[in-house]
Amino acid sequence: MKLRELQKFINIAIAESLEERFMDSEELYVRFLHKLDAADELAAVEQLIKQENWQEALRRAHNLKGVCGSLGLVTLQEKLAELVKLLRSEGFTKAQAQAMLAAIKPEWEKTLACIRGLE
Amino acid sequence: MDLKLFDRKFKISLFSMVIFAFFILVAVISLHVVREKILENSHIMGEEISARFAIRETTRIKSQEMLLRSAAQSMGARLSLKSDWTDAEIEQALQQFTEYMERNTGVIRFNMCAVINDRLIGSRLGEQDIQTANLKWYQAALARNGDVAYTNLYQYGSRKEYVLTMAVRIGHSDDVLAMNLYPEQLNSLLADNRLPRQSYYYLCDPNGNIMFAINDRNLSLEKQQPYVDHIFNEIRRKNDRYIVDLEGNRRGVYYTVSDKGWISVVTIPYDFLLGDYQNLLQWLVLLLGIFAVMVLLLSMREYALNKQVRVINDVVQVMSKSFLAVFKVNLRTGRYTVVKSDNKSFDLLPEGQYEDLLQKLIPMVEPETAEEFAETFSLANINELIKKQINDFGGEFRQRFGNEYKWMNVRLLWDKLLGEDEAIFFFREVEAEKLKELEHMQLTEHALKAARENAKSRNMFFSAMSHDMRAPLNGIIGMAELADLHKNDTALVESYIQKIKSSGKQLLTLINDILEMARLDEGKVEHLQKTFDMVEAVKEIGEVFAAQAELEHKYFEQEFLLESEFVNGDLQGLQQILNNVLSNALKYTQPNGKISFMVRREQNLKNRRGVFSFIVQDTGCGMSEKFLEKIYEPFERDSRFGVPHVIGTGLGMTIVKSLVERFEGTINISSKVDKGTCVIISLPFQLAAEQSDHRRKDVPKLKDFAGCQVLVADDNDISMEIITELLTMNGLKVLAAANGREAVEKFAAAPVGSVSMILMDMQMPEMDGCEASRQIRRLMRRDAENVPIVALTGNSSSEDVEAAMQAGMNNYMVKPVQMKLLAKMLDEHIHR
Repeated sequence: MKLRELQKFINIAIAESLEERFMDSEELYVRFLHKLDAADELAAVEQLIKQENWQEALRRAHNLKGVCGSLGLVTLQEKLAELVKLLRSEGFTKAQAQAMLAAIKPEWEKTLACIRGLE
Repeated sequence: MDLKLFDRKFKISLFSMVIFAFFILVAVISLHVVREKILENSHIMGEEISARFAIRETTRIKSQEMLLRSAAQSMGARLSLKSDWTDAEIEQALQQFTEYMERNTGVIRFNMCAVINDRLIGSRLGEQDIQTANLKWYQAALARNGDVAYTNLYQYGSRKEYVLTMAVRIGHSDDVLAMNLYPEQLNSLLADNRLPRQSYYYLCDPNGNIMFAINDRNLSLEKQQPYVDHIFNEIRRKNDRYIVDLEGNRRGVYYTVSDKGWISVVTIPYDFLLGDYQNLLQWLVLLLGIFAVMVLLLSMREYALNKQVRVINDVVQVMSKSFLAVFKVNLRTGRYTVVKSDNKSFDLLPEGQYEDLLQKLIPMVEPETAEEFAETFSLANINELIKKQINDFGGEFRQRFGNEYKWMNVRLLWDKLLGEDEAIFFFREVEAEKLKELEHMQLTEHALKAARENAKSRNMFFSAMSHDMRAPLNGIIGMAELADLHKNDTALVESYIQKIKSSGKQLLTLINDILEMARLDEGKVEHLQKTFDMVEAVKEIGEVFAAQAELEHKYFEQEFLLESEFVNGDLQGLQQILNNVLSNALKYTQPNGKISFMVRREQNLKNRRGVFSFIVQDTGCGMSEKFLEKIYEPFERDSRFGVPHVIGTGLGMTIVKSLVERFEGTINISSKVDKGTCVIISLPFQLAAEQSDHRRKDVPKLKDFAGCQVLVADDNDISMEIITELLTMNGLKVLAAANGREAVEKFAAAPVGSVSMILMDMQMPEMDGCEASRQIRRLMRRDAENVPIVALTGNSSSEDVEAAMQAGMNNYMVKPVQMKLLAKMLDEHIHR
């Protein structure tokens, strides 16, 4: 799959990312997309939520949000932003966190699958 | 090949083996014959022995008979004297006879008895009451009618002794005189030790009972009886001359039956009989063994030798393949023999006179060398050379084959191995090699020539150079001296100083140009590849000359027929070329003259290369044809009349040419005296991959800050990587910190002023951005206060920004980091 085709499957701001951050180098962009795949961040966050390590979970989710933003993965970024907001708030429950994470998962998996299919 | 080898070896051995086999066959047959012969002889010997024994026995017995008969005779006489002999008287008579016998024969026991008038008389009979009619000996004696009758051995008496009875009729009566013989007695009669070793002798009665035995077995006769029975069985069973005895050994059996019916048997062991034969056999086998070993060794040797020979043969075969012809020449008789010849090329007889051979060959040799050939290889010369110990000589000649000449290597070899008078003469085709050799020589000559020319031109260059360098230097010194002389005349001194300055500059320019040339020459120049906009570049250059032209009151026209386009190339080189050409145009054009500078974009080449043409025309004094030829040579100046005296080094065009060549471009100059010159330079440039937009001038770019070092603090690996990649790709250096504490440490450790800017992520473990900023600001360093710190926040919430500013940061950027913005930040905060 070519980079540009990704837009058909996931919400990704390719042109903007290329121009703003990757100096129009598609190769560089793709390389970093693959890196996202390599580090299984969402699973780590899931684990941390399960362990109720809120501080670490927040930090990791926040980071992941940033990365998705850098890579132009708009939907993921928004969803992760919500999760971060939840984790920052007072009086949230573990169940809520887990539910929210579960909602993110399909998008995450789909994104990763598409990235893996990139040339 | 292997099979063949094996075959040959086999053949060799086969021959030896056949001989060997034949020899063995003969030996075996002979042995067999010998053995048979020996056995034959043994048999004969055996027969003789048994016969001898038989005869001896017979003789002895016969003497017994005589005694018995004379006793009978005497008894008969006595009886006829008186007719009423009492038993006791007869008994006495018997006793007398017995005593007489015992005395005379040395035999200790005789039992004599008689049957007189049907009465059995004998003192030693014991209580046996025997019917006369039942007495076997009695009947036998009567039947024999005067001859002595013998019984077989039988057991008699209470002691069951073996006994044998001799009986004879007394006269014509029915009286019989008998005598008992005990076999043991016979032993004393017949004991004789002249038997072959380990042989046994038995004397048996007609029933096969042993009467007497001679052997070293020390067994009683009873014990030996079974053996004898066995012998008789064997004899009856087969007619062979041997039996297998009780110990399993073979024995020859030889027997004789005497006329009494007694059997003399001799058995001689085969071992004894064949003793000599065995010996012979052993020796023979030994000899055979030695012979076999010798044969084997010989075969091996033969094989080894053959192998060697084969190898040599093969090698010679291969070698001879590369020779067109090989001759053996006998130097004394002057005859030659063909060892190998390729008849296509050499139509020769297999043998003949060497002179003839030469005569045939000489016409084939290239005419120029034919004579030399004839002379070199004449018999006389050969002998001459050999005498001088030159035993390997030859040369290369061209020889005609059909319609073409081919290079041949002809040699003569002489060696003591061949024999005093013989030499080998051979031809080898070396066309290919020779041609290569010639080619090499040519190349070498070329190279030499080029090198010489190079040296020459180098020398010329140096001499020209030194001349040109001396002039301004002399000028300087001269002026300085003059100034010294007129120290007080300030005006004069001032003019001298000006002249010194100008000469100095001239000299410097010259030296720079020379160095440039040298550098170009050696190729050590680092061609700095830059990405630049062609239009911008030529515009810049054009501007300078436009200004200069105006100063000199000359018209300068520029025309750029190309769009803005970014290329990768040596900008400096391009500038140098254009500068040189344009300055020449300017220099050699008189005031009010026109110089035009045009740049055109031509067709693309392969590999994303664009071609640009640079055309400089002027209406100057032009150049003569003669000069045009040498225009690129260093230090050449047009020395024509009418050419304005121009300041310069004479190296400009040389450098231009060199540069153009480096660009792999072309340069064309056309000129007409007094009309003008036109220089067209065409250069290819690698088109830049990205054609950035035209907002260049206004917008700062990251690239502009190449070389700056930025400290980036971010805990997220990927984000860090992205920023790092971004910066380093633009030539900036990155100092990475994973959290606030590290950021402070790294900044503190860096040399003062080395960090141009800090990008500080707000959220970090251990120590966040704000705290880190505070700590950095508190450091006791010159740059701690002023180093620009830009916060990287996840959102643009005012509290965060407020906190950041409070902590001492200068600015903020919302993540994800944008390139353009970053560039703007750099632009704003870094004072370049």
